[in-house]
Order: sequence, then C-alpha cells, then structure tokens
Amino acid sequence: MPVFSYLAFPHPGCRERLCDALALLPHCAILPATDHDLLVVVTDTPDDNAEAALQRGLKALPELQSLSLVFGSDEPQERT
Amino acid sequence: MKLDRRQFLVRAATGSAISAATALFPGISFGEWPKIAENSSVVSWHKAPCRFCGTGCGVLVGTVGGRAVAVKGDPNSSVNKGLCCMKGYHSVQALYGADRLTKAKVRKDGQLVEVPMAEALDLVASKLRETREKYGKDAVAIYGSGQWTIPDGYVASKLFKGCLGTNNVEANARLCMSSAVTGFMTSFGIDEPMGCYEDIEHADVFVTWGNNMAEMHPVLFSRMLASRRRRAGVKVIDFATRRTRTSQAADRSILFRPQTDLAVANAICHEIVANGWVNEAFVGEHVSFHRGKTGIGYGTEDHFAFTDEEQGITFDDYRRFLADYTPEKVEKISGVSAKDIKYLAALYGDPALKVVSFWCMGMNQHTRGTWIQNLVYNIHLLTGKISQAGNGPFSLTGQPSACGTVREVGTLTHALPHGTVGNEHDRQMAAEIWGVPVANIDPRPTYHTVEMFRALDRGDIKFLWIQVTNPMVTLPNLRRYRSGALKEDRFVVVSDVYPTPTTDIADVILPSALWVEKEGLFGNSERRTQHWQRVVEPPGEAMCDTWQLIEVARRLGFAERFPWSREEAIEKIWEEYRRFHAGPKHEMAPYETLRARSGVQWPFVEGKETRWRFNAAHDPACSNGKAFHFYGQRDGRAWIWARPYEPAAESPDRDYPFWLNTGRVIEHWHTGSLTRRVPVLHNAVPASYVELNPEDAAALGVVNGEKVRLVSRRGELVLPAQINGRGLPPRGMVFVPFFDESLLVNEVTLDAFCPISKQPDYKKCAVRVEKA
Ligand code: SF4
Repeated sequence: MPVFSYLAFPHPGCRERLCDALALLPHCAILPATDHDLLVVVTDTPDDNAEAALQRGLKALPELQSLSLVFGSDEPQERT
Repeated sequence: MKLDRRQFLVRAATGSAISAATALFPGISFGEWPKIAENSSVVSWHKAPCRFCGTGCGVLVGTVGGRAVAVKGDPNSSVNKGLCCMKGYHSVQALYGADRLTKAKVRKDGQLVEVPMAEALDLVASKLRETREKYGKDAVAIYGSGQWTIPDGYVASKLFKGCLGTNNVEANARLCMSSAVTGFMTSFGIDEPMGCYEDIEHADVFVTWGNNMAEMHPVLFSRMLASRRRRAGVKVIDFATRRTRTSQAADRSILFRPQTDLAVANAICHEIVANGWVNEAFVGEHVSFHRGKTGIGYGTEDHFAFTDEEQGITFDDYRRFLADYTPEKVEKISGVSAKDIKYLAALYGDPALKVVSFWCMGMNQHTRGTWIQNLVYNIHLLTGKISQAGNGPFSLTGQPSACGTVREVGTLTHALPHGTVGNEHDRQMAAEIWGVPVANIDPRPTYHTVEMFRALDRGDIKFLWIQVTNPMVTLPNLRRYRSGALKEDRFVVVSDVYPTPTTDIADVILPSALWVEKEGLFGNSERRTQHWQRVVEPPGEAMCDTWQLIEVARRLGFAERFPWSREEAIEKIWEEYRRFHAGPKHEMAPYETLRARSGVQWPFVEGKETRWRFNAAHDPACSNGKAFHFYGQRDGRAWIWARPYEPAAESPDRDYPFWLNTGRVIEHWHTGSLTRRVPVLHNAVPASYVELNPEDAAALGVVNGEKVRLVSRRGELVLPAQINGRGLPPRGMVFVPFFDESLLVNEVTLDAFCPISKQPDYKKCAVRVEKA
C-alpha cells in the first residue's frame, strides 16, 4: 500500500494538459502550484499491481518533462 | 479534524513535496493547502536533528500512537529552514526494518544465541576485566562513531581513558574528518570552522574542492543554488576529479588529476602573489609563515610513526617555494589548464568578490589530507578572505556528530574533552572533572583507527567494543582486518540496530536504541549543538549506547563515576561535559537552552551564539584589540604553510592502470545498514556498481549493466558497469559507491593514510579493470 509524493514538471506550455492527464490516472492526486509550472503529485495505491500500473501510466505521459520523488512510504512490516 | 494513519501519510507526503517545492522556488503558492495540512490533531511533532549527514538539518518527527510516522523540516532550524533531502524525509522508516535487533546475542559453540540483555552485559564486563588483568590495560579498546551521540562518546571516553586508564578510544570519524582536524590545528591551533552556513547567503563565488555537495550535503547545496538564483552574478565552480551532479549544476566544472589539488592550490597562491593580489594589511597583521617535513610517507606498514617538525620561514622564503608552482608547470602535473588556474586565482584574488571554499571527503580522505587543508587555508589567508560573512574556507563534515562527539568530546586516542592526553594541564582538568586520579590518564596516545585494527590482527588488542559503526564494511584493505578480528582469542562486542558484516564477526551483539528512541545531542558542521528527546520506545531490549556503557562501567566497579538515574542521565552528562569547555573560546549552551531551541552554535557566551570566529566583531574570545585574532596559535596569528605536491601512495601503472575512487550516493547513508531498510531508498539504488568512462567501457567491450572485475594488489570485486549514469569519471578512473555490504569495495582499497592525521585515502589506489 505505497504512498508517494513527487514534484512534476510539465514540458513548456503543457501544464493544463498534464493536470488533465494526471487527474485521469487512478490513485493519483494532484496539487498544482498557483504561480509556477510545477505540480505536486501524490499517489496512494492499494497494492503492488495498482502501483505498477500507475507507474506505467506516469511514464507514458508525453506532457511530463520530469518527475522527482520526494517522499515514499510503503507500509513496512509492523514490528512485533 | 482527526485523520486516520493512512490519511496522515498522504498529508505527510504532500507536505514533504510542498516543502521541497518551496526550497526550489521560495514563495511558491499552493493555495489553501498548507493551512488544511496543519489542521490535524492526530499527530504530535517533536524536534530533532536529522539522523544522517553532517549538514545537521533540524527536523520535526511526527508520532501517532507511540510510533514515528513522518518527518518534516523544522522551520525553526536555521540550517535547513523547513527543507529536508530524501534521506531525511524517509528517516523514520529506518526505525522499523523487519530484521531490527531487539535481543542481545552471545556466541556459543560458534553460533549466536539470544540471551537476556543483563546476561550479555555481565559477559561484556567480565571479559573486559579478565582481558585487562591478563594482558594489560592496552589490550582492551573501544571503537565508536561520528554517529555516537555526545553523551555516548563522553561516557566511553570517561570509562576507557579516565577509569580503565587506556587511550584505546577511537571513532570512525578518523576515517572521515581527522585531516580536517589536523588542518585546523596546524593552520589555526584550534579545531572547527570559523564560519557558518549563513556564509552561503553572502558569498559571490563558491568553489567546491572535490566535494559532491549535491549528493552529500544536499540541503546546503539547495541553499547555495537558491542563493545563486536570488542574486545576480553568483557563481559555483566545481573542482573535482570526476563529473557529478554538483558539476552539472555548477557554472564551471574543472577536473584535476587525483592528488594534484596540492599543486593547483599552490599555483593559485603563486598567481595571487605574482599579481599583487595579496591582502598585505591582513597578512602583515595576522599571518605567519612556516614549513614542515617533506617526503613524509604513507603509513602502509605496521607501527608507522611520524612527527612533523615546524620551522618558521619568511614571506620571501614562501614566495621562493611558490616559484615551482607556475600555472604552466602545474598544468603538466594536474591536467588543469594554466588558463583555468589563472581563472580560479583571479576569483580568489579579486578583492570585490566574496569567496567560500567547501570541501569534505575529497580533501580529507587524502594521503596529504592535512597539507591540502593547509594549502586551501593559505589561499584564504593570503587574500584575507576568512572569518567574515560570505568569505571563508569551510570544511564540511560527513557524519551527524563527527564534530559534536568526536572532535569536541575528543574520542580519539590522543584527545580529551579539552585538549590532549599529552598535556599535563588537560589531564589534570579531566581527572578533576571525572573524579579520577590524574595518574589514571595515560599521557601517551596508543592506536589510531587503522593501527587499532592492525593491533587487533597482531593480538596486541584482545577485546574490542564497537558501537554505532560498521568497520567490516568501511575499513580499507578490509580482508586483513576481518581475518584479524576473527582470530581465535579476540573478543569483539558490537552494539548496533541491524545485523551487519560487523555483527557477523561479533562474540556479543548488544541491540541498540536508534535516534529518537533515546534522548541525545549531536553537533554538526557549523559548531551547532542540537538536542532531542526520546519520542518513541526502543523495541524489545534495545538500549541506548550511553546506558550500555554505564551498565558495564557499574559492573566493573565504577558506579560512583556514573551515578545518574536513567531519567536524568543525559542532562547530568551534558552539564558535566560542558565544564570542559567553559570560557569564551568554546562555551557550550546549557541543557535547558538546548532543549528549548532548534540548535545552538558555540561559543555561546552570555546568551549569544558566535557566527564568525576570530573576527572581533563577532567572537568574544578575540582579545588583541585588532579586527581579527587567531588566538589558537602561540603567536596569535594564522599560519601559512609551504607544503609541496607529493604523489599518491599508489598510482596507476602498467599492471593496474586505473584510479579507483570510492564514495557515497544521495540515497544511502554510509554502509546502507539503515537506508537499505527504507524501501524507497533501497529500491532507488538497490546495489552498488562501478562508474566507467564511456570510452574506457568501449575499449573494454563493456556495455551498461555488464559485469566488470576490479582487481587491485589487495583483492578483487565483480560488479555491474554504470556508463553515463549520475557520475562520469574521466578516462583512466573508476568510481564505486561503498554502501553495499554484498559488494565490498574496501576489499580492494589501500590502507595508506595521511601521516599527520592518520586518515586513510579512500579516493586513490590503482586497479585493473576487466570484463567479467
Ligand atoms: S541534508 Fe543531511 S541532515 Fe539534511 S535531511 Fe538530508 S541527510 Fe538529513
């Protein structure tokens, strides 16, 4: 059940299209900066398959110039 | 508004990304989100320094239901102003790896078996006593770390040096910053940087000397780039032996051949003198000139000993010494064009430009580590660019408390919390504060780190207690030291939080509390002491390292020297330790102040931190009535040293034609024992590799990911090639990160060291490269 956050930079002039494309991906929330071409992307997937599908979806976005991982948690095993 | 844990994680992830964006674009707006995020009552936040690098970022650790769940940058910390790097954001996950050590283990019939903690501590105490009685006081030793807390190191030193009477106390910081110490001591007579991170907001030019700050000190690097974005004309010059992420972001990247930084630094000084850029008023008032021995060796043989002999010289002598270092001559040695040398000299020499030089392992892990520090100080001293906002040489440290615990507490064989064992006054002070007879403190240093492990191999040391470090990954020429530690009658105790190659060779493993599972203090690169409280419980029987030492001290009959209750111990230890540093040169903040604030810089005098030492406008210890006072040296001046270029201990030749350089990557902390338990960090770089220059790779017929064998005179290693990855070595050099315990590059490296600092050189040895 991983949770990740990223900084996403669109190709020049592609900000709106990138927002739309990301909004269509399941398990993916976006928070666009109001004054810069930059989006915070937060993913919250239920299992590894959904995470892998989402990663494929992210990599296929032509509007996306770069995606930098900032935070990740994949619910490591609880200590007994 | 209450959040469940999952919602909280999403919030933490979002908050971290917003902090990162804010660091990149100060003032960036995300509308109403930050207000919503703060409006959660489920999480409590607690201040702490980051567990990882020597930058010493202040963080806030979020806890829910007794578990640490998130980290954010502490906005009250002037170090990082709310920002963290990826290691910092993920640091709490290092507490919860599935294979955390929670019970003590003792080797019985060759197998490590779980025993109650009290039984293991009994065994440690009885073995220590027995070894000392049978073989003498110097047959027992402790080897700690720049990740020891200040109380850990202080108690270790008091027990071993004060009570047991042996100077067999060393720490892994010997491997990471002892050249920085000897550099300071020889140039200024007193340790630790004169400047502070605020320099970053004032400098016009930054020169990174063999220092990949983008990966090793990422928050400071972001601060430097933010400073460049905000102010026109600010430049970053990367001066290194391979291209890195720092070179990519720099305005200019200049490569030099390994070891020849010595020659280039002298050539810069040559140009400064030749062009009349010497700040004569500053030099006349505040500088004196010196030389020492040359041809000083490399320490590769057992029992190597060296003592420098200082001789005063004149400015004219120094000028004559520099005559050998014209840019044209040095171009031939270093591969740096005379034009680039003149360019660097012109930046340093321009009185209108403020210049900061940053360095860390590139200059420290160097067989002439002390010399290269002296030579970079020379540049700043000749131009008077020192001890002022935005002007200064800045030696960064690698570990979170290499300064706080090793340099300030003095957890090295020759040192005491104040001064050295060889100094009678310092011994008397220690004996009085520790409440031990002065005769207990031996005036002779024993073994520096490499020699300590040689002594274990020879059998001169029989009992070794290792805390918070992983020498079976980090020692150079590792095979010798691993086989030494495994010899029949050696007894090795290891305190750690996860199984490592070092716990593999242990006779006793003591499970340790980690970071916010205990109260502690660290000291970072800019003389900043940071306190934190315990905010979560350690697992199982894990115990803080300070308390492990106290438990053993009590079993050895020293209860009166360690009388504190567990609740008050850290406060009492701090207040006892602080007595060593009383006075304006090193005064430490009281416990209550440290508890309340997100870090305090020393000297902390009459409630005021000291930003720039040796500068009379800032430093209360200046007493000569002048603008600057270098009070550490006996003549009240800073010392310029005539130190020549001398070659590396081992250079490429026909049989071993490549340089091997080793180091870190941003994702992993040191040997990876913590960060490899953090899935995101581990998955980002799951295994080590060897960076190859693309032309060398083509000549070898190797493509990306293909296996390559590195062979040195000490060992060999097979690992995948990385070509055009994050780092790009020049032709004839390979680079290997050392975080991977299954690919031990230190079986290949050489245990040569700087004869003055005794710090090994992990950046230079000769290897052969073959397609595997
Ligand atoms: S830069 Fe260093 S101290 Fe700061 S968050 Fe990263 S690892 Fe921690």
